[in-house]
Amino acid sequence: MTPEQYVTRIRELVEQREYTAALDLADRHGAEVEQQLSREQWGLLGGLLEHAEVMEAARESGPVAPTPR
Amino acid sequence: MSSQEFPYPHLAPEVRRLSGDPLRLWGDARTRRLALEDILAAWRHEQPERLRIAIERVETAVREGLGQLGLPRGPVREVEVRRRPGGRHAAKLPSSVLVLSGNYLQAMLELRHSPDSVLRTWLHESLHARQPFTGDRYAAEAEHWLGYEEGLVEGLARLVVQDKAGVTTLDLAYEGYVRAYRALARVLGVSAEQVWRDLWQVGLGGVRAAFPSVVTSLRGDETQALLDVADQLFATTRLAADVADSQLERIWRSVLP
Repeated sequence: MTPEQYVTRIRELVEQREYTAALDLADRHGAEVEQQLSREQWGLLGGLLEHAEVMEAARESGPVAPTPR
Repeated sequence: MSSQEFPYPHLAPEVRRLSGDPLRLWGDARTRRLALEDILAAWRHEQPERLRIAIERVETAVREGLGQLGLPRGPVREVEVRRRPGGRHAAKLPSSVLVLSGNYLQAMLELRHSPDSVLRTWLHESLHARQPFTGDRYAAEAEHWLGYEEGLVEGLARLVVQDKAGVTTLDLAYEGYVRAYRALARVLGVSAEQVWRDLWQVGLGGVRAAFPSVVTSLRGDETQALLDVADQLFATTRLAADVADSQLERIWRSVLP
C-alpha cells in the first residue's frame, strides 16, 4: 500500500463513519507507510485518526444524541 | 535585571510565574527534548516505572502551565503511551485517559526533529480535557462539525506554544479549522485568542451550540445565517479542505457585513 492509497482509504473510511475499520487499517498498514508520509499527509491523518478513535470510544460509552439544530 | 533573576525572557509573564522543573521545561528547549526522549526510551525498553515518572514530569509542567495561563485542565485519569502506527498522534478518550502515540513521539523526535510538536499535541489533548467527557454530547457535535472543537483547541494549543512560550512547532493538523477561526477574528476585529478563550469556557460537545451567542457577545447580533456558514467551515467533511484566507474572510463577511 502506498502512502497515497493509505491516506485515501483512511479518509474514505472516516467519512463513511467506519471508524473501527479506519483504526484497524492504521494498525495493520500504518507502520509500513509512516516513514514515507509527507508533512501534509501526516497532519491530515492525525486529524482523521484522532476523530476516528474518539468517535469509536464515544460510541462505546453511550448512545449518540440526535443532531442539534 | 539579570537573566539569572528573570530566566527565560521569551516566556509570557504568566508562564514565568512557574518555578522549578516545570519552568525549566517550558523555558528550555533542550530540557524539553531530553524529557521527551526519556519517555520514548522508557516506552521502547518497556520500563513501566521509568515511563510513569517520565510522563509525570512533563504532565506536571503541562498542567501547571495551563493553570497559569487561565486554561486549567479538568480531570485526566492517566496519560498513556501506546503503540499507534500510521498517523495516530494522540487522543483524549471518554474514559479521561489521554493517549499519546509512541510512534508519533518517535517520529517527532527522530524523523522530523520537532520535539516541541509533541508538547503542542500534549497541550491540544489537555485543552480537550477542560471538563469531563460526555460521549453522546461530543459525538453529536463532532460527527458533523468536528472543527468547532478541534479548531478551538488546536488554535489555543498553537497560541500557547508560539505566543506564550516562544516555541516553533510543525503545524500538522486541523489547519483549515484554525484558519477559519483566525479569519473570523479578523472580521470581528478581535484577537483569535479572545474568540478561543470565550469558546473554551464551553464544555466539550457544546461549542457549536454556544457559537452564535459567543460571536454575538463579541459583535452584537445573532443570525441563523452565521451558524449556517460556521457549519460549512467547521464541517467534519472539510477536514482536508484547503481554502485561501481571502476566501475564508469573504465567506465570513457574507454573514458579518
